Amino acid sequence: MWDLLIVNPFTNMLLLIYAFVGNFGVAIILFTIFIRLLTHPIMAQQIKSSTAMQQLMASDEWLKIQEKYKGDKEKLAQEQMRIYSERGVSPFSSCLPTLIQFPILIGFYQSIVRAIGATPLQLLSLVRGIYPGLENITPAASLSSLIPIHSQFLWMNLGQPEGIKLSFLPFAIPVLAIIVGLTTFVQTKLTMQPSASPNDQSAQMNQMMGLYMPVLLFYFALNFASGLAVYFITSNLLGIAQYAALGKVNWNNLFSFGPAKKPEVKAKSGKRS
Amino acid sequence: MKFNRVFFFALVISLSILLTACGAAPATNWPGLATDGTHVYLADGQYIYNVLLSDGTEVTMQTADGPVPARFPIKADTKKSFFAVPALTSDGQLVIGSAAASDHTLFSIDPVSGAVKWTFLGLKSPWLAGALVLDNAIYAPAGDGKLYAFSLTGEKLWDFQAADHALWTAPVTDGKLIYLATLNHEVYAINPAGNKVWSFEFDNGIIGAPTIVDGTLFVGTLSGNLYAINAADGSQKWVKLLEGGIWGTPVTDGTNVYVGTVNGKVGKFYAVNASNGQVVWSKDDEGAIAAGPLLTADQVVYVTELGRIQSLDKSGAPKWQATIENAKLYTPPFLAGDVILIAPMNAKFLLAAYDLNGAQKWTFTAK
Repeated sequence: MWDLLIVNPFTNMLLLIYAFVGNFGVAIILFTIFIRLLTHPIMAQQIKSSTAMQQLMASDEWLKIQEKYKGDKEKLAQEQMRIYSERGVSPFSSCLPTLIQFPILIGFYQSIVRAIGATPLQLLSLVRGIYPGLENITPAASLSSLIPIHSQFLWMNLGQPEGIKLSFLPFAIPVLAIIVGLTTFVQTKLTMQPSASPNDQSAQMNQMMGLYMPVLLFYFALNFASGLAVYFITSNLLGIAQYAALGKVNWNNLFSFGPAKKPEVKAKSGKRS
Repeated sequence: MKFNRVFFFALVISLSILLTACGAAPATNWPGLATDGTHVYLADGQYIYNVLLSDGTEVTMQTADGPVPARFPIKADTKKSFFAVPALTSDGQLVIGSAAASDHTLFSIDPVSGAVKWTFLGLKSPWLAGALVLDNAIYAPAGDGKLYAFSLTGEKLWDFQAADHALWTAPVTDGKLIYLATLNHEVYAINPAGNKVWSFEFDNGIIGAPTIVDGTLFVGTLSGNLYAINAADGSQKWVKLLEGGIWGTPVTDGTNVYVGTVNGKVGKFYAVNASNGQVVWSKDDEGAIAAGPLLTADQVVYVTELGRIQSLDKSGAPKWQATIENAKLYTPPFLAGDVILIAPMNAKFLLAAYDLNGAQKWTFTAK
């Protein structure tokens, strides 16, 4: 079912783009743009929900109940739920879109690996998953035109982890993984939403994300097919562009290493907007 | 805060497991088999196993810590993996390259002790195809699209750029020329000095090595075209389109060419007239036939993706069949002495031996 609904459509889409452009690296980049456009409404909703949560947490009403019921967690939770309900804000609405993106990420990764077909066995799996109608769209998408799929892009083999070997070094420099780590760090910093209180949970969560995500994605890029790293880098840059287009990039955060700064605009309090 | 931290780490670990489970880090392929008449060498993932042909027991050797299996490498190394057909030289070397993503070494090993005799380190991509040994040279197709020639002491003699894609197919020879098929739709005839004699462009990629008999090269493509090519000058004798793609090496007794096909999840097995390409008989099979068949004096044996071993006589009548539970069979059946060796994937054992009547003689399971 997973293959049928996610991996096969992704793989065929990737192959179709490859058939048109003739370069697997460019195909990954274009497909990432397509996926980003497809998930843009989800992301916009996430940003909106996140902003609503930030405004709610900066409101006088919220701060008052934190103070008033700090010794009574049960009552505090009840009051928080009441405010969520009154303002039409769900505490999960900001993280749910992120979770929805994970299956896309995994499916995309699997489709890259499948489309490259790095061994005869993997090629057998690929050939079986190619839609028969694909070659009707363009003759370049026929099996004989697609095979072999050239996984070389710039200096890297997209089916292999990347690393540049220099004669005087005993190890390869993982250039792409470093770029993944840096772009993830920059994206996380730029898109981190400011918090009313550095002690609130979302601020701490954001801080953790800012620290761990670059390390995590660096690790993935280091160990998995470099096609995934190309996806990460493209996705990070597009993510920054999307936030910028929505006016949500927080440039002040880039060189600050504490929690995201408190918003300059005072949040509205009380009534539902 | 504590919940968030736990949630975050759970998310990270889940994602890591899911990505790792996608199977990209280690390349996987079907196992490779070779024998010297006494031992069977099975390249199946992290190890090259050394198994006695007589009873299927793993050969052991003495070390300071006591007896250990005579595998290569002796201790598991996740950076290495082996799937190619091991090449055995006349002076007792076993030559095979690592197919792992991070180690691209070509090894020459003493198969008795597992000691490395020499290595070739100059590659950035995996070795998936077996090497050919001809006279005093080793011809190894590599992941960078080149065919490398080495002396028996590991000195690189020359390389020949055959494709811009990895080479997956072992070269074959008639004793004079080396014939190399590529996924780039071509077969090259190369002389032992490393010069191209001729090349022929096919309609699709080639996975199974060509077969050469009596000056004719038989080649199957992924489109299902079976070609007969004049080995001397590369001219086409005939071509026959079969149902499904050809993934394995065709075999011939000089009269017929036998080959199986993959058509989605099912397959078809063919006997084709070697002189004119006409289909003599064919058999539908409920399993895809990706591996090339085995030809003996009185039978032709093929394996299917559904774990079935099928023996037919040369008129296409069934002789015997056997099934390995849950297995997928992609490695060609291999005749070693008086037994047929089968190297399954996903089975309870790594290797099985059958006599020529289909009775299982032994199985080998790695301990």
